[in-house]
Amino acid sequence: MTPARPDRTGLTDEELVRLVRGGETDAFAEVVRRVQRPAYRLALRITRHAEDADDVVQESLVKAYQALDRFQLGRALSPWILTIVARTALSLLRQGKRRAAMSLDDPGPDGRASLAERSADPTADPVLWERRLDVERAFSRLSEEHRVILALRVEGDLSYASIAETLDVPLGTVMSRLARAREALAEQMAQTKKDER
Amino acid sequence: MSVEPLHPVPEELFAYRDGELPAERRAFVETHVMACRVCREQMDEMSKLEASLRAQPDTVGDAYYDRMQAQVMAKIHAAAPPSRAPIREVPLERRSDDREERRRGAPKLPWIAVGSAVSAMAAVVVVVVLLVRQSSMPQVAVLERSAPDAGRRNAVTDTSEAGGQLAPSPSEAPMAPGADARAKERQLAEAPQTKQQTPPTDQGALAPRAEAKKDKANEVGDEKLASRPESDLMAQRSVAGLSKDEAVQQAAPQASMAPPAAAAGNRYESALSRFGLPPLWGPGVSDDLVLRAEPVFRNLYRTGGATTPLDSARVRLYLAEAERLRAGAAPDSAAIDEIEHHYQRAIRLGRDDPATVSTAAQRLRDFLSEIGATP
Repeated sequence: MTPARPDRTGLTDEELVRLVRGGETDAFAEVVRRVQRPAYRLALRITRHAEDADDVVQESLVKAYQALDRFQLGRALSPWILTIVARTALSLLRQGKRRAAMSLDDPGPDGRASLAERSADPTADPVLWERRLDVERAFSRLSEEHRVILALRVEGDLSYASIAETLDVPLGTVMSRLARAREALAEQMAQTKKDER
Repeated sequence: MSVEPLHPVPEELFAYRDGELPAERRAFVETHVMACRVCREQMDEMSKLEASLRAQPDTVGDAYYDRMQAQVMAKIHAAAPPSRAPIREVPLERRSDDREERRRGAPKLPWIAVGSAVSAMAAVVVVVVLLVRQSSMPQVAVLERSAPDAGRRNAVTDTSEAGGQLAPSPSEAPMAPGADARAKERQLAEAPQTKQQTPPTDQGALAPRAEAKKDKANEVGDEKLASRPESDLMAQRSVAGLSKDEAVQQAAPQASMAPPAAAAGNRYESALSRFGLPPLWGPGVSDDLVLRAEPVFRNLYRTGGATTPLDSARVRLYLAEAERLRAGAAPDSAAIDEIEHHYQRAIRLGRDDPATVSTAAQRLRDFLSEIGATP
């Protein structure tokens, strides 16, 4: 009979890091639980493929565990891990090993309904889900450069400095590229609305 | 003949909205945005688009994440355990440099270690002597007693010290850059404290790495919403109130530019005392104060300045209230999403504090009732 895993949901990130560094590897499971959702969403936005995103997240979390000694206590843990996720995902893109991008109509990796179907939940506010779907379509039409930087900012909620570090570009480039990406998103939205008429 | 005011370039407009614009440009953009409906609408529209992107439903469910968690932990257990260094509260660079030193074969050159130790001791002696001398200077004593923002000055001190306590890039896990680069970045990380006059440009300096680590609260697993534009608030302000508010507004980006150690202090309490707000929002709190404090709370929320879950919960509560005030009687769907999200997070993060939970839960019920939604 395996002993019950202690409940660590009430611990802070810092306490968890201390436990893991102190040799309690299982405490990292709670870190994984906390961060895997935003990590997966970020990886999915960058790779545009569920299996790639899954690979990226798993690889990144293992890397984060192995590098946990280098995480400085007192800092926010989530952005640190999300930056690892972003770099791993970008590395995959650069290596050209990714799978074909999924569309809004593809089913989820666990066999769940596609994003389009899920967004079109009849119980949800129809105006709201229609808009969300439009925004998602507009986002999917952006160039890779624009999608990536928007994903880092919007989904990863990373600072400009973190984005600069992740993309290995100057801060000014982050500012200008992000502005171009946002303008492109707004243009795509306008185009989507025009197409619907 | 009136001259058409120049709009800020989109880079600056969006950076302003993101709280990432350097202070010296912020005043210009803010003044313009206050008077320019076009720019306010542009910022608001972008906030809504980004809120929609964040609000996309997950394509996977809890079972998927459970499986992923199990797989990650299996991989970690299967791999050889990393050699964990003992926990030491010392700058990362120093730890790294220590390792570098060991790799270089310190035993072959013991005099380096001896020299370092002697230098360190000498430095300590010099610092102690200086401190003793300074403490005897009357003007310093006066400052210590009278400065109302002593906490802030301490934070700045901590911050500059923290310039040497930079977290390594996560990417350093697989590929560690050299110590020289880290030393340069440490200098850059300290720079914003003393000279924030250089706007970022493509040729601009590298971002301080310290800043890279402070942009999100420890609320992992959280679907964060963008920093909302301050346009509505700013439009409401009178020109006469600008100078006072400017000081408040400018405090936010300066805080956001500060190296992360500042975030490790009690910045929530500091923000509360700055605006004279109670730790927990209540019906008696002035709307005007909530709106004025919002940029600072939003900055705390984004930077992880609220270091405990309870503080985070209370920051969320204030943000929800500010958003409600700005959204008015007919909030749009993005505002509804955001307000509800902040309340929900306040309830979750504040679960150990009944007062916070009950306040947030009651406010959420009131809000849903106001907009005609079912709780």
